[in-house]
Amino acid sequence: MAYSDKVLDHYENPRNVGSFAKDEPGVGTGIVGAPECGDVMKLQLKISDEGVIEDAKFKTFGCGSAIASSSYVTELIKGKSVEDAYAIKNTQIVEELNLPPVKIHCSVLAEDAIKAAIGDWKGKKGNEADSEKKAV
Amino acid sequence: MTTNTETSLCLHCGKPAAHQLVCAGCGIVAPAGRETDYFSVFGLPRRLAIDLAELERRYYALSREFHPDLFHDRPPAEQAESLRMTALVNRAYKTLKEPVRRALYWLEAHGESLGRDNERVPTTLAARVFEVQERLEELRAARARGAGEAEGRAMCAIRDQLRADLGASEARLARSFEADDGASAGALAETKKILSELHYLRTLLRDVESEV
Repeated sequence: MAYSDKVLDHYENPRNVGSFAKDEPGVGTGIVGAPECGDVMKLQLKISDEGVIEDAKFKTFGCGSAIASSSYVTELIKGKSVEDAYAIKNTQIVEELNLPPVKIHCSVLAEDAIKAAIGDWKGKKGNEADSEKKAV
Repeated sequence: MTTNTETSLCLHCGKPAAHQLVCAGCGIVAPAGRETDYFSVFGLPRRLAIDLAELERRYYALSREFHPDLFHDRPPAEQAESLRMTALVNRAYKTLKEPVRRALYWLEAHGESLGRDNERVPTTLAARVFEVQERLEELRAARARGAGEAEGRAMCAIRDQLRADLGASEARLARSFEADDGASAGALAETKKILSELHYLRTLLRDVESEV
């Protein structure tokens, strides 16, 4: 199967590879996997108090399309509000990267990773608010 | 064998076929109108736990029965049917014989798929995948420097542990087949969980084995 030029570009020069410390304030971590193929993807977002995504990092162990999907997402998502990021659909990733039908699940994985990371950030924020309340 | 109410007509004598595969009257292959499920191909009960010896015995019997060589002097429609049946029998045998394939087929037959409602990797498994993958990266980096002997030995130990855990998962899968008929929501969820784990471990082991 031939990969599109955009997939190859992201695969060969992945953007924003790496990680933040999980307990760093404002960092949401999403770890998702595709059980059909055993790929795993970690997406981390650094989110401001105003709910704007300031930075994103990823680490993916999987096929070229999974790596390209997560790499593209880190570029796409920076500067977006949490709400806008949450609304990103996998179809957008499919179109941008020209993913063939057998690789659509890679884009779904990337969408799930965004939602998981935001969910983690919200959970952490909720816990902080709870402990502040308790302190008062 | 479960009786099938959809009787088809025998290609040879035109009488209703006794069961899906062969006409009872003359023993000629009946045209199956639709894809037969793999369990009923062998007349086995639709259960995840199957008797492998019995499966094999019936597979050989059916293979002999439908062997295309036996149909060389038959009309083309029957020849085509014997080919189709041979292919179906082979496909069904290959799927049912191997527990992971059988379980995947079982999920599909129940309208389930591995990906559905299953996007979260169990945390400990994900942590393990990331740890091992990062150590693989370290091993490659060390080898690029002309070193990496100690890392290589450590990776062999990781590989052996992964193999052992994969074996344990396969055993758990086999046990889950026995739990009930495997068709309840709980049993399907358990099968799905073990299959996912197996896939993550297999992928990881494959990556490790390509290095040591």
